[in-house]
Amino acid sequence: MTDRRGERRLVDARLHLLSRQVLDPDGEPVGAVDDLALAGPDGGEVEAGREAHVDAILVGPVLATRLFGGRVPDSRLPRIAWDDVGHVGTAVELTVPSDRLDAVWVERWVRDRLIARIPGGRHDPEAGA
Amino acid sequence: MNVGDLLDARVLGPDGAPLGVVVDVRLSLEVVDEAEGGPGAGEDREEAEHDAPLSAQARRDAVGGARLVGLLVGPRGAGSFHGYERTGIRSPWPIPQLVRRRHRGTFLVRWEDVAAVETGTAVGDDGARRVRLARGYTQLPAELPSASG
Repeated sequence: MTDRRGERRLVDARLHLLSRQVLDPDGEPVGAVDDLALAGPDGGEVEAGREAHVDAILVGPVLATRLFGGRVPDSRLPRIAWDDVGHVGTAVELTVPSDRLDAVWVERWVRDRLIARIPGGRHDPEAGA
Repeated sequence: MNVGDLLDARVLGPDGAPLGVVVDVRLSLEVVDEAEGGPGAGEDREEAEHDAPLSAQARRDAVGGARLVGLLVGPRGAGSFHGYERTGIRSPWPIPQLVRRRHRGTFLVRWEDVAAVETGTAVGDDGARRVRLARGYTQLPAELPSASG
């Protein structure tokens, strides 16, 4: 394998990142990239013309605002820190399992509080008979 | 500020002349060495050799930080998300040729050349964001290097 240390890859947000699927290390889908939060060098507000970097991926319930307009306030959008991103290819792959992400708490809550109470709801179909 | 705030914002020159809209935001990803190999990496390779899905040919990098490089400014907004004017793709004829023609004049402006990002909050304004470029900004070619797929 060639040493590509220090190399940088140019991507366009809309072309290569937005709406791409976000996967956890096991290949479980976490969501889709709805937006990217930018931050200044010290993690503060971005200033025009000053150095800025991607701070987090925003995943969340944006379907309603896409249909009806308006926008979800940033504070209501679940964030995944960019530091947790491992690979960028056709999908964005994370380095942390989805169980540890706040972004999928709704799914976790439904699984633990609702599905688990249905008889047979704790059975893992993928674990075999 | 989010990338979504910048997309589709109107771009004004230093003198206030309209130049177009932000069609995309260019980022520079730090490619890190993958010597240790992620848990999923080996698995994917194996699968790729097996039946070689199309996605195996796509580039997949272990990445570090993502820096904001600049904004792509196009004379028209709609349709640019195909990115034909930024890549060398020529088929299926005549789609890339037509889209490229529609978006000729798209240029890259470095983030350092952006003087201000304003939100239109004045009365009678439609609330759209505006990006004002600094005096002496340079228009760079919009093409992506062919290596990134």
